Amino acid sequence: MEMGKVISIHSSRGGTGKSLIAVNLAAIYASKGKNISLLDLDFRAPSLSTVFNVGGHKFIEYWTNDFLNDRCPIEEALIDLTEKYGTKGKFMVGLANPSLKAIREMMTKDRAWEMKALKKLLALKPTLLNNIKIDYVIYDTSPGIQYSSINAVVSSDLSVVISTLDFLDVEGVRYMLSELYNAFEKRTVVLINKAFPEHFPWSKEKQKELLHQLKENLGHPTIGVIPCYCDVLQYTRASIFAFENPRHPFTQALYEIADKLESL
Amino acid sequence: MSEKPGEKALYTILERIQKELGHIGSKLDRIIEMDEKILQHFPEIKEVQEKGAPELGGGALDVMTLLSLPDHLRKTAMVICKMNAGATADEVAKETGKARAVESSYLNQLVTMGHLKKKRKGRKAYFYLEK
Repeated sequence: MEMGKVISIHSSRGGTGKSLIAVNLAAIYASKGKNISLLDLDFRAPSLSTVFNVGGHKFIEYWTNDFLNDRCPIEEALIDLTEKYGTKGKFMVGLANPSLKAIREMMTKDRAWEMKALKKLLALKPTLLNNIKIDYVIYDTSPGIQYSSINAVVSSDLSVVISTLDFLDVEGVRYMLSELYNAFEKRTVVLINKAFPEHFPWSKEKQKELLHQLKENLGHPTIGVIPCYCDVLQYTRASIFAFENPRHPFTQALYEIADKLESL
Repeated sequence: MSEKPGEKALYTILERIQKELGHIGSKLDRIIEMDEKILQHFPEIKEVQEKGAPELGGGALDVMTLLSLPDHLRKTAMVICKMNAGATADEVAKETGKARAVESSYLNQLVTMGHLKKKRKGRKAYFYLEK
């Protein structure tokens, strides 16, 4: 039987669309009948709690923070949203606690705690894949090189690094890949988001040239280039774009990315 | 002066012991020489031996520490991180595809550096992370 995958969604800087892509990829997989577990591991700037505003958080007993702090097993930190969104596959979400107290607690952890957190994340795959029959675990991480994001990247099977074409973003990704990802021999693909305006004339040759340049520069393949859609940026984030706009080119691009990631 | 038969046997034994001690001495010299040669390739261990574990060197094997390790030790350390109950050099070698003796040397280096603990169960040595 084919084992599922743990996919981390990471970026070198904020604002690349990392969380938007993590949420919508998870939603697409769940709607295709895959059992999904989406975990928010961005403890400094938790955002999935806003997207999945589950009963104003009144009913949330445990967060992903609590799992890493040994206060609950992972099963209790997962919220089952399968019925809410009517997906064919299980749609389980683990949210990071957005309270200032929780953020402060996570910021003051020492090296011994971070080592334990890494061990817990490494042991998470067999638990989720075997006990809850999850097909794909998706980690939404904090941008850049910090403990929570490196722990997530190191414990994943495949890493998707989101970048815009902004020089600072691409340089940040290049540095991160050479210093961090290559050291851990991580299977990595790059996904370019907000690449150029929606109606920018972009010939097949130019696209091919860009992909070649990125491969040369970054040393890892780019699995997609998504244009910048104003309506996606303006869309309320407290909902799932792909569910409400299934025919939008952004959603279609993510369906293609989801297929490509499955085949890797 | 004539020697008693018992004394002659004793001299023979003492001569043999002296000869064997000479062999052991030269073997020890070779081991020390080899150790020096090996340490030339791993300055980080020499530093730990001479100055003691640096403040951030030993102890917890968190991701930042893993990143600071040379590639070959990082690979070995990652295998131990993934195995909850610890592992023998044999088990690590199966994961990394390297020879058991090589992994044994890497694991012992990680113990010397203070990142791993080692315990014996019968004839097997287990390497593990401190809880």
